[in-house]
Amino acid sequence: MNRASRLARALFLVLAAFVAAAVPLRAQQGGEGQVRLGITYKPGYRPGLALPPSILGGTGSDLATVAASIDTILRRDLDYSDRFEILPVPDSLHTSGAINYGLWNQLGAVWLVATQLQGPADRPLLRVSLHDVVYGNLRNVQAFTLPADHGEALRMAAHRIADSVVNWATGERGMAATRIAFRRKEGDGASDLFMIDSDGANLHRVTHDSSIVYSPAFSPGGTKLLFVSYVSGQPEAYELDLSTGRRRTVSAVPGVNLTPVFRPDGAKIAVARTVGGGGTDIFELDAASLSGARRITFTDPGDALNPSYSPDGQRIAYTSTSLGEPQVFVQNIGGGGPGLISRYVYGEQGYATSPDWSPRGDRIVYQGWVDGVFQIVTVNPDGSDRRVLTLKGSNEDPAFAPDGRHIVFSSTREGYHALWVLDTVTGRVRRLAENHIDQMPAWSGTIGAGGS
Amino acid sequence: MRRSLRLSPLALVLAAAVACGGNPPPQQGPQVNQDSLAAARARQDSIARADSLRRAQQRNQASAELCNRALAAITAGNYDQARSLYKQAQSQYSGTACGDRAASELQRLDAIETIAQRVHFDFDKSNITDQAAQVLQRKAQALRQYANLKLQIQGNCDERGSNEYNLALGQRRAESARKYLVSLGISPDRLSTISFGEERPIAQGHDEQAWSMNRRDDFVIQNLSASGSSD
Repeated sequence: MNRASRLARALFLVLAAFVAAAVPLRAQQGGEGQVRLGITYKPGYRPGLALPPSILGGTGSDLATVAASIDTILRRDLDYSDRFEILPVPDSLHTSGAINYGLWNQLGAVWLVATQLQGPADRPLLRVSLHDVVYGNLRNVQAFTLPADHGEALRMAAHRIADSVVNWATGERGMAATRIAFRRKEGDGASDLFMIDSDGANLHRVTHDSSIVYSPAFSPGGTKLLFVSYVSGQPEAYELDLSTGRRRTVSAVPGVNLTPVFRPDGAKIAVARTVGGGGTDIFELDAASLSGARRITFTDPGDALNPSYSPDGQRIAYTSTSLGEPQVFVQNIGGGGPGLISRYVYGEQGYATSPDWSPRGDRIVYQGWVDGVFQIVTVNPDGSDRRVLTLKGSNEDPAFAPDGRHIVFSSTREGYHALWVLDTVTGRVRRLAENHIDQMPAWSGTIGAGGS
Repeated sequence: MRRSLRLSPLALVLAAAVACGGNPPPQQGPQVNQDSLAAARARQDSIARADSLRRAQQRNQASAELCNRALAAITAGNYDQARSLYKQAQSQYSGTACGDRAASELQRLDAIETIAQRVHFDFDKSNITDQAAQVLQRKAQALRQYANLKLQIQGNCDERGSNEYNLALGQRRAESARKYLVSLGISPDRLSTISFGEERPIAQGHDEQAWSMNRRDDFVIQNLSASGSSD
């Protein structure tokens, strides 16, 4: 086959896959947790990906159980990456022996992920190969040693493998091996911090204070959480070491201590707190010693809060009332005037808060009033190219995934505040956690990836 | 023994008559054993004293209970209930500690009610409105009169807006009232502030009526059991 005809064939397959993909997409509309928004999104092309069941390189029900668990997690993660159309795989197709690319082609696959699991069951090895079906070659292959623990650790290992596959296929960073921390409101108005894996599994409670908690924020490696709690009687900022459970006070001035976050390199903490005039301003302190507090905004007697660092740590986006109503600004930490980036119309009541700077650096997300209701809005860091990403219900507290593409937020679209994940490219939305009042989500970096 | 036993009800009547301040009845009728009669009388006298003491104690207790319930009612913000409890103490238990201080407690209750009255704010605003200023001026007067009372001013917001921003806004609302009271001469040492943002709504609706109720400062007296007025 010469180069020209190969390209023509590839183009045809891409088009064919697009048509094939469009059918299941339409079928998904109105399905469980799948809502396609009509406003900002073009119907994104997602190449077909086939993930047949893992081939077992050994016997034993333990190994088969691990394989089934890994297959399920990988398939869901790759679906939730929103980069692929996950294809149903007929039983007749398998990946033992030589790969028959033609057959996978006919199925509509652009990518084929072949996995083989070898014993022993207490320390299995998963060999993962990614095939480019269109070009008929092996894109990448790697063997992953899976943990002996078949619970949480195995799940996180599977998430990391899914992120590897995403990276091999797209060159981009995945977000499967991450967690989302948030506050859950319980009876009698009390709230505590909870945590959940990016795929909505492994929900667990983090604090047991039965007080009021606010604003969790992860350390770069996901090993610590900053948050605000009323456990002392006043809203004060704390740091919680997730592995040891040790807690220390980060900021406790009289008044309020709000929205603490780590700088992306983990060396500094920015926190908003009450100053002399009764308003709040943002201070930066050393993350290890908690000393050397330096005031970086001057909004009092108004409020500045919600700091979110640019990836290089040189700038912050934050909420400020310097125009009278809360709006979102960006400023250099080293000095220089703040610049407004949210939509402000003189004489019109506006309201924009809670910015989060994408870890990719290219966009800032915030919640802004659209017709008096909060919607999720993204802009460039200079405020240009404003896009409203939601329509239904009140949508608040947005936070970017480490892939800079997905956003978790709290939405009342089903009547009360619940957490949803939005893909900013395709507009796919999924519910993250069920049947509770959940707010203020924070998205971790990649877990166990050495401080990324 | 039989006779004295049969006579003992009579002795009880006599003893009771003594206890009630009646004249001692003349000795008459059959001779009785004087020793056992005196012993019985002494016993009955002591029972009567104990009864009287117990009744007084019970009365004091019932009265104190009214004052305790009144204090609990004030703490819960049920001022009308507290008022009727103090009035009951005043009318039924004069001579007891609670009954005797009920009149001044009723006066103090008026002051407490004035001090606890909420002030309200406009949407996304923390400035003291004219209406709020009048309420705060009345508070300042009551606070001057009851100079030992300490207040926590609690700033609250309606459900609109971000939770985090509302914490900051609530703090500003509490701070506005604190500053206004200080400007009227109330010592800053008596006034602390806290913000609850939108965590503690008092009206549950999702309309302007509920929202305007919830945009408020609550004034919580922190040492309600501190005694009396300063003048």
